[in-house]
Amino acid sequence: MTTDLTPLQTAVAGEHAALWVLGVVGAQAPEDSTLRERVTTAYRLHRAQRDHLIARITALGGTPVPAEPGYMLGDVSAQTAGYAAALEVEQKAAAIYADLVAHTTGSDRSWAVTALVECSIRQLWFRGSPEIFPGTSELANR
Amino acid sequence: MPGPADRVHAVPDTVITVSRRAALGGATVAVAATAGCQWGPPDSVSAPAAKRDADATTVDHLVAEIAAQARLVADVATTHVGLATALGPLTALHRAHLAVLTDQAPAAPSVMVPARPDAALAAVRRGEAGLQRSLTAGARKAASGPLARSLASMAAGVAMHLAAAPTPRSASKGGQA
Repeated sequence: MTTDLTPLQTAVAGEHAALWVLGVVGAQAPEDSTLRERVTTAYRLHRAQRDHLIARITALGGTPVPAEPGYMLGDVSAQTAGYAAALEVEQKAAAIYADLVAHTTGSDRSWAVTALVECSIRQLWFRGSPEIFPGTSELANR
Repeated sequence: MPGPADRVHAVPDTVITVSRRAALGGATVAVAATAGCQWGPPDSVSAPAAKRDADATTVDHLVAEIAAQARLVADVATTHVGLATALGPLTALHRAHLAVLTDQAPAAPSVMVPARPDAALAAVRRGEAGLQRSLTAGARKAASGPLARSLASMAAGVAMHLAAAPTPRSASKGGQA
């Protein structure tokens, strides 16, 4: 059972940012494009992850951190930039979930492991390459 | 210039920056002690001795499973040379994972390689899927938080490589030995 809400709050803050970025990328991607389709699917999955985290924090007696009014994002009007932004979202989400794995136990950890694996696979949707240690840069770089 | 999703990174940073040893927490005490290795800082998610022993057993089993899968991949690549290039990333993956978990990977025995490339590739894919499940299970039950994080990352790495690996259909089209 998780007792510390901080890693869950970190994860939900990350999901707020991920949803904002994916929303912008999706809105600017050409209709009927592969990018639009994949970002839309990723958005739905991240929204489900955010909702799970909010429910979990609430169940533990906490108040989930709210989304920021806005987030920094470069020009993603070109599809290459859109792919890159979506890829970065998934890479950073993987790192957040890897940390959540370390700081949780039981069902919370199991959920975090699944989230890490899914974020990692979604990197491939956005032109990412298979990584040996997704979400744990110090292992990859050692 | 800030990246496109820098606010994702701007959330409180809980990334654990640890050495290889600390990344494994107390889990590989038994493994590394036999090799006379030095240990890093103590695991921040400390576990009782009994649980550390359980983690060491988990690591031992995973090392054996990764080594066996690495041997299968090597034998398939040798038998079906048309698959060797496609299997190269899996070889690198297993080598890197073993390097984190142990100082000396065990020598796994040779395995029977299916005669047809598509069947051999299917065997490799089944083995990788099984390895992903084992790493996931290890992450879920590890007493050490850093060990759990490392194993979960490895499971994700296997999942990524499996998703990108050739399928038996593509092997029968272009990967004949």
